[in-house]
Amino acid sequence: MTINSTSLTTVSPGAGPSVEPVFHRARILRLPRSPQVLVGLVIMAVFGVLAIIGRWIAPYSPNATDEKNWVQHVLVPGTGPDTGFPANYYPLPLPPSAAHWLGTTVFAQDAWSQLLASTQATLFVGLLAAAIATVLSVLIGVSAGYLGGAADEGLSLVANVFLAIPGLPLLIVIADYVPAAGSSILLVAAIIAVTTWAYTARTLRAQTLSLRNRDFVEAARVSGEGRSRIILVEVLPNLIPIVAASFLFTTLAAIGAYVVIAFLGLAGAPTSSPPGLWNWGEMLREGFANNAVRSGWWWWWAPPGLLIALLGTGLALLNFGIDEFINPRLRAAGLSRKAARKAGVSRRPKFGMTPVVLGRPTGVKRAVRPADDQAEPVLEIRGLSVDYGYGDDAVHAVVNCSLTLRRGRVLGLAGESGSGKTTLALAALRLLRAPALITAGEVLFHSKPISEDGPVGTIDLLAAGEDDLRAVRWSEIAVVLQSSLNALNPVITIGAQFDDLFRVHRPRLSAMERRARSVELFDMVGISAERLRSYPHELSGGMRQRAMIAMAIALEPQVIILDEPTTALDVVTQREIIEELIGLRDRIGFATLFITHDLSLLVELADEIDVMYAGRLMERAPAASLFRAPRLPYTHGLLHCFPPLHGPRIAMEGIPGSPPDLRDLPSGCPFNPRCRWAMPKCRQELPRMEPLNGDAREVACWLHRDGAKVPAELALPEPVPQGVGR
Amino acid sequence: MLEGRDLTKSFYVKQGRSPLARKARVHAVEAVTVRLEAGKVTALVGESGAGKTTVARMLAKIIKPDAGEVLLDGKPAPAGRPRSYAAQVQMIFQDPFASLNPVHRIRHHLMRPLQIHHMTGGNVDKAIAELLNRVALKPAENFTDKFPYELSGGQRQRVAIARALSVRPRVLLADEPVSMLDVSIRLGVLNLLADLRDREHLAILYVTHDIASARYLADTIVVMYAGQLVEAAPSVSLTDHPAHPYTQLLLAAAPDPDRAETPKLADRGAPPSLLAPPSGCRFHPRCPYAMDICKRQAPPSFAVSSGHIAACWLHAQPGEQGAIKNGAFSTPAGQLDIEKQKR
Amino acid sequence: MPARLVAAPESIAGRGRDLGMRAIAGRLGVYLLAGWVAITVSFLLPRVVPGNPVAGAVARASQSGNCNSQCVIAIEEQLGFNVHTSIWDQYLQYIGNLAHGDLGHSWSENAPVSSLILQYLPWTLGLLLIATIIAFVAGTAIGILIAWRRGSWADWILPGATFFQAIPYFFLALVVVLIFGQTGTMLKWFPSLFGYDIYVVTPGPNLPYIESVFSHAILPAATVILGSMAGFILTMRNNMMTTLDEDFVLVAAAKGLPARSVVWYAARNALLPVVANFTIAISLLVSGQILVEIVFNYPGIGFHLFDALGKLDYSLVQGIFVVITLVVIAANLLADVVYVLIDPRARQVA
Repeated sequence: MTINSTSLTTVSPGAGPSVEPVFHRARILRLPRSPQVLVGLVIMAVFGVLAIIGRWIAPYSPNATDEKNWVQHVLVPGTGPDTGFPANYYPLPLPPSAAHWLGTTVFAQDAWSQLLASTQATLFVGLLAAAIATVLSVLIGVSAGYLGGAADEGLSLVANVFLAIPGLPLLIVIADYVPAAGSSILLVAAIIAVTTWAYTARTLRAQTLSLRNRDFVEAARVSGEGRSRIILVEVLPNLIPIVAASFLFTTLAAIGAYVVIAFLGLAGAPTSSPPGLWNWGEMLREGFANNAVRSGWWWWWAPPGLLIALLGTGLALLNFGIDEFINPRLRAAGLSRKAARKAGVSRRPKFGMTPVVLGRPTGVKRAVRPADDQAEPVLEIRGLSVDYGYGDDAVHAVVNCSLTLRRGRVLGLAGESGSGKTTLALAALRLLRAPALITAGEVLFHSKPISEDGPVGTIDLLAAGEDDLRAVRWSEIAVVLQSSLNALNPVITIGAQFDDLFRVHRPRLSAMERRARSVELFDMVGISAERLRSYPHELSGGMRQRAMIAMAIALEPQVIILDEPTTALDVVTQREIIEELIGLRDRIGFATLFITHDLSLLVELADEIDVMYAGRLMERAPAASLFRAPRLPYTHGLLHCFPPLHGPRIAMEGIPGSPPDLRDLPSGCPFNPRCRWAMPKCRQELPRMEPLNGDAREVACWLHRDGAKVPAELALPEPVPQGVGR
Repeated sequence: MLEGRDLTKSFYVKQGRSPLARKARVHAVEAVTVRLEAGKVTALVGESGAGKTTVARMLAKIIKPDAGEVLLDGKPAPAGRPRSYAAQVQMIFQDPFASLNPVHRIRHHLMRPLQIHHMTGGNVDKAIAELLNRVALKPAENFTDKFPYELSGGQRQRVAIARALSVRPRVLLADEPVSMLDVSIRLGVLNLLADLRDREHLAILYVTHDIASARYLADTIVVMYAGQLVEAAPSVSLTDHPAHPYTQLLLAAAPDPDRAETPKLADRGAPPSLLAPPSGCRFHPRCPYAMDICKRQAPPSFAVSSGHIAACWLHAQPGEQGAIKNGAFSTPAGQLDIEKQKR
Repeated sequence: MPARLVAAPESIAGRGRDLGMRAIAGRLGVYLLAGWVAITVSFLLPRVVPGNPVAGAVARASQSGNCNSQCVIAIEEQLGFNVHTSIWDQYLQYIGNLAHGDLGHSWSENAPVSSLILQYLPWTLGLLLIATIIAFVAGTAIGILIAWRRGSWADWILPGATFFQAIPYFFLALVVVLIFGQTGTMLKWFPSLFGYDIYVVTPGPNLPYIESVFSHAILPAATVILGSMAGFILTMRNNMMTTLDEDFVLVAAAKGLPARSVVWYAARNALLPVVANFTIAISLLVSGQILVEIVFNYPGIGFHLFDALGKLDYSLVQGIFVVITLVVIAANLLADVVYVLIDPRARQVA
């Protein structure tokens, strides 16, 4: 077992497709300019200046005794009457004065001068030790990680052995056996470095190991790059943030270690021969040995201690910045009280509930078409808008989207990454995490529970309280996410994850009944019941997704939201899972919101399809109509992105240009830069979704308005209904 | 032009994380033969874990085959990974977010191969601009000084292709070059590859799990299952008349809006564990037509029609099948399939 | 319906446990090696360091009033000075003695080192155990809280905690003594010297003694807790922030579980790296404990290590070093066992 996961150093590789990929692009190559980092920088700068100029601004020599001020005397402990030793006196230390800004020690030395000299030596030893340790750990960690094999095992073993030996005791023993250390900065630093390098080496090894298998290293190898250049030019620059963080951390550890061995008297005293260096630990040692603490001579012992703490705080604050750079998830992205007030969210946001702007505009009520073939709506999203971030920095991820999911039907939501389709669906359940904010709209859930429990009637999910919302979640509206590995809790068995569901939503069930129901569900999706005792990582991807689906139908919900449920799976598995889902839908009768980028799959699967682009819904139509007769140029383009499996092979175009950047959208219709039929109006005004010719479809496109000339490709006749409607 | 003959590769994975853990053998690729020709795209199709990427990497000489050899122009490719080989065979990776080093500008990515292979021809900037133009990143100066994170996925993949082209290779190995890209820009990249084939006469290996895109781009499709080659044919012939039951399954499972009726796969199980692959034909546990012989002996490749081969006993000539049944081949089963494929 | 095809499940639980045991066995090898390295280093150092440190030590010893001729002989013997056997023979004998639990003889206490250490060890272990548990539990809880309530006032706990983490333990101890200690000058709430009141109570199973032991442990324990808690807070907060972004936490919320359960879901996962990196924490804790014992004159092995250094009692120094290393290694091993127990993936079939 190699334990090398550290939260501080996990580089998220490609950061995985989490909520909105667009958001990851916001990550910029510089330190976060938080107040914490700034304070850290200022502290470090002050220390840096002091360390450099300290020698010249010190008013006295740190060893010089100020004989003019030897006024009163203190008996040296352990001397005088009753001790058998002749009485020996120190001068009484003087509190701060104009002559001595930080007072004097019992030896009548100037504390301020000592402090300046100490700052220089302490920092120097700390930095030197950290430099040695860092070089050592980079050499060992990177070569172990890059070379792999026996070299890796050997070097890792050395690092692990050093890690297991407690640092300070080892340091004490070494320093004790090497008395000359006190007078040699290099020796002290080297000894400290030997006891502190291992942790960084282990971290760097793990990082290098993961970098080595990254494609860009492979690509460099394929292009004929030599090994040393790959390590130096391709791998090392990627490790800089981690090396920097480790360097700061090691500096702090080294300073701590130096101060400690000096405090224990193992680093040589400045007065001994050969003389040791003045440092914070030495000052503290003298103070402690001469009863400075109990005698109330704070000016002597307090400043060095506080300086250590201040330096440590500065280094740690800088480290926060680096950590946040390495792992962007650490940026405290909470909604602060100020931002909340500004955004119009009055209550403190609750955990697990996306905040909703109060007094937000709600969706326009439209006349519900009384079409006889339409089932009644179960979930209506009206005019929903979602921002990431607050105020001027906000990215409008979803803008004024309305869709209606009907009982027992499959509604497809198609769009590319970053189009906001996941955001839209999760916002309906208020599952988006900070910094998401729902700024407009309403989500009406017309509940008619399939199973015994559950609320009845229409609920606005955005206005519902925490308890009402929890009663709806999963019990009435369940969610299946793309990556089933991440969606299941890795440390508890799948059975236990079913169990807690029943315990919350079906408290009347006994343990036996809960277990029986889980077995039944597993059987429904074709997994053997003994798999309930398995942990998620023990199942294959397809099986995990089946387990997720079993969990989704466990409470017989009215709605299941499927967010790219099969994207991570192979085609055969994908097909099987979809068959499974359709079968279950026929048995239980839930409505499905199927979100995917794969329009060709949706056409086969869905009753009705909504197409989303740049956070806006752009076209809605029955699946066959959308496929045979798209009205939106984007839909048309997207349909021509999937090469057919039959017929003659013809050249296809795809869609020119790049997907939109939500932070920098073009004016007018967001698709206009990629649209081959774009008109001047498209660049000026944003088209709204409007019904087309009174049809059962809607489109947001100027080509279909105001008598514009519709291109032939977008005016294909509606397909003749085949009467196969599901 | 470039040929991998009987490539075989096993990996050893640790069972558990302890240094003392036993290592288990994963039979990733077994006796796969792929031939790439100039001016042709050969697609390698299969599910994840089928060994497609491993084959591509063996051809790129990133990993060494356990058995079999890589032939360049009919001659065994030089041992190791010399620069002369790198100058002729280049690779494009799946994830354009990972295949470009985040800390270097685009210029660095294109300049290094040029420098390594002394191809700058005096003017680096001009060479870089030319490369970017070739992959339709225009105007080039908008891109040279950008960092990868400033580009979109499609642009990044084009940069990766430009990098591969920089050394003027004759063979391009593209490992799932579009699967990480947004749907709307996939065709653009595929068309670029087709362009390179037609205009520059490159031999291209297109590794993919998407059989529809393979049909669109490739001249020949090779289907792999569980580390073995199951079928190879001109692309239209393969997709229109699949001969191997696995290819049929793959085609049935692929989304196809034109289909009148959704196919019923029922439950056909999952690909086998490569730690202990099934005996005989590796597809037999999932095959609706599995016969007795399928469980016992791995099928050799049979010619179905001209240029169309399938490794399936269903296509055996009656005589040949009988001969095997009669025990004409007495080599052990594992040996047999390598022996047979060499023919 | 035909039997479904599933990838061979074969008694996962049993196999997992077996692999877990093997993982721990692997770690055990590392620790054995670490123990051996520590022992060998402490044996070898005085014999190989240039400049003949032993002669220096002997010289210092005989000059100082602390060391009589008996002491000089003891040092010479311990450090291999004026001993006319080969280093190899000395080493074999040293290892042989260690194997029998013989850590040598302390001249300053005139007693076998092993019995002395057995006498010191309970003080250290008791204090260490209590302080570690409290620091771990409280630190982890606070870390969870900060991550959970991000964006609130709780964010300001961080810089504060960082400040405490940056203060060296002994300095923190000095300040604690000054403010709260009876040997300090301000509040004088708690005793701040020795492990119990050596003037009033007699050691043994009597109530006043036990009370005294407890009250004397308050300040040292508080110091260790204060100094080490920040590390736990920070690590846990970082892990929690990362974990709260995971999909399974989203799913837990989507399942309609109460917020408490969702946070617990995340916390269990966030705890894994903390346990995995316990090596660092335990090393820091032990270091802190040594310094705190020195400041409080607390009769554990840390204080006696310092004491022995001053008295040039090298047998005792070496013995204590070896024992501290063993204690740390044992703690690491325990953490590994816990890790395998709480993370099913550590028992993973790769």
